[in-house]
Amino acid sequence: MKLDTPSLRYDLAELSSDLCALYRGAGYRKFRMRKFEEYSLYLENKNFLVSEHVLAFNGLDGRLLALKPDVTLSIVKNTGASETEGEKLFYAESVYRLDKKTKEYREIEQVGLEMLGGVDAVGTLEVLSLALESLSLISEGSVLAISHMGLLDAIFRSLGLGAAASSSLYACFKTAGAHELRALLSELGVDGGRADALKALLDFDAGDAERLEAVRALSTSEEIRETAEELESLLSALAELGYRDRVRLDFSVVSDSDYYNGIVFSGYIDGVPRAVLSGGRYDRLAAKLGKSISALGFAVYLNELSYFLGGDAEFDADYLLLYGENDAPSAVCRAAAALRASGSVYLAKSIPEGFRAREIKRMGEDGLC
Amino acid sequence: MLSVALPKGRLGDKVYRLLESVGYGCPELLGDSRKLVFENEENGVRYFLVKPSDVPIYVENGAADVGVAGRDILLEYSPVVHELLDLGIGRCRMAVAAREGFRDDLTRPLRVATKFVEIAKRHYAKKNREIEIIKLYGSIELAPLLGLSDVIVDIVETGTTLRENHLHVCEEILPISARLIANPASRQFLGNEIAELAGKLKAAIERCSVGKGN
Repeated sequence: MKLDTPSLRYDLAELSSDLCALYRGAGYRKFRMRKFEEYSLYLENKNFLVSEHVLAFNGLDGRLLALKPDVTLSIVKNTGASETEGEKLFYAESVYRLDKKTKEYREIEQVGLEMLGGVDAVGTLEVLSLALESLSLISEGSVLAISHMGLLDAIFRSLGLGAAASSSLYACFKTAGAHELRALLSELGVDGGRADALKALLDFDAGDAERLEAVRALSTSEEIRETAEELESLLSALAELGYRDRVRLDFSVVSDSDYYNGIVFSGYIDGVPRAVLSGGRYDRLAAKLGKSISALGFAVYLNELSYFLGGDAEFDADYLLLYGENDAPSAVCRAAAALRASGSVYLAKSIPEGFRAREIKRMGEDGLC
Repeated sequence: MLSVALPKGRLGDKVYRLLESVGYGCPELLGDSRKLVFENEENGVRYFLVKPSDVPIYVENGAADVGVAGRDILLEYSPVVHELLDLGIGRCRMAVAAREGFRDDLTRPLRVATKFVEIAKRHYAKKNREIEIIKLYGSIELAPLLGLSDVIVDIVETGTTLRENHLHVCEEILPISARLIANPASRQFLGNEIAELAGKLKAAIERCSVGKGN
């Protein structure tokens, strides 16, 4: 842990509940799902998943089922939303994923929301505002990094490169490796102004204005111009809503272009080393699942916060209430109930080993003393 | 304050000299001390000295905001970090080496001894060549000499160790050099400080290469 890492103010259950209240307040309905799904859903969309490894088992009827590694796929598969009759849903669910580092499956708590159908400029702004408000609930020090898969995809296609070359370009963008990008572009025969503009998208000392300028320099088709304008309008709208200081244009935020076709974003909290929120526009995933709808959503990864959230680690309870053999049980319980108004209470006959209480109370002849 | 993970050893010394030359000095670090954390509040920098292969782990997990790691380590472990700069030092190459006179028998899998398992797997997967990996942690050159493997995949600097053991480079996989890496979250909150450090290093490297050119 970094020597000066600040701790944050929530425990996970409290945070989950506040996030759900935030989404409910914006008119999103809670979506509850079973813990498992048909394995084939994940097999057919394995590139959408963080890890292709899925915990599978046979149902009693012989069907191959899986403990769900992802929530969005199930929601999109089951939605009845259309482009004119949209749905707004939120969830607080566990997913089961292979941890790449430990090579063990982990249960991960996710809270998130999905806007299915009718995603327009207002809808996009609403979802991004909710993402920013979600981060605010965790900490005042937070940033939302935004990119646009449709824009990058259109720019890469305009270079006339094949799938393998595009995939290498995406890999460079993901690591923000401007020096690797330089070498790759030279290898691919992309040079001159276009190569300079592409490198400027990743330069470590470029600000949002320079990056937008580079995008304009790469606007060689109507598609690129339109997506660039969409991105610029969105950044302006977020600035008008007072979020400018917390939003960054960051083209290292990259998701799979087979599924994501528009805005993609990652949320960061000061002192937490990995993104705690991730989302984007995924019309292409919806289309793969047979739904002709626009779709946008995000998830907050509570597990990324678990080591950094403040909690009640300093004390096991606010009060340790000690009682004796001769104390009337009803008097003890009455005294505990009275104390609970000002904090948590642990009842015991003697001080448990290693127990830390803010204050120790004892039962006396006339009640607490 | 920026936290910097430096690799212990020769590469770390070179990187520190470079950082010192652009205003990130911490004289205590050069002393004969067993300390692992060094801080210079005036220059706004805190150094951690760690095993070279651990640098990306410290940076990925946010214990350090930036660090310096070889491209070999980054390609082998694929940490989620941003690669900001090629520092151009610690240059060497990842290569396939074998005994003099070795001929690849295409009728059976090739036995490859290496500590860079992922790099070796990716290299041979591209060539559609079936291999059997023998993971070793040191003295890799010994493997083909004792018949433990057909070839090795390893870092080659001057080639002296290979020559002395009657091995030769039969294929170059990729060039290696030290990279300045950063934690993606740190970049969001310490973006200016990190860009300033990277900018100063970049300018120093360019000055150096111009000097060499002259």
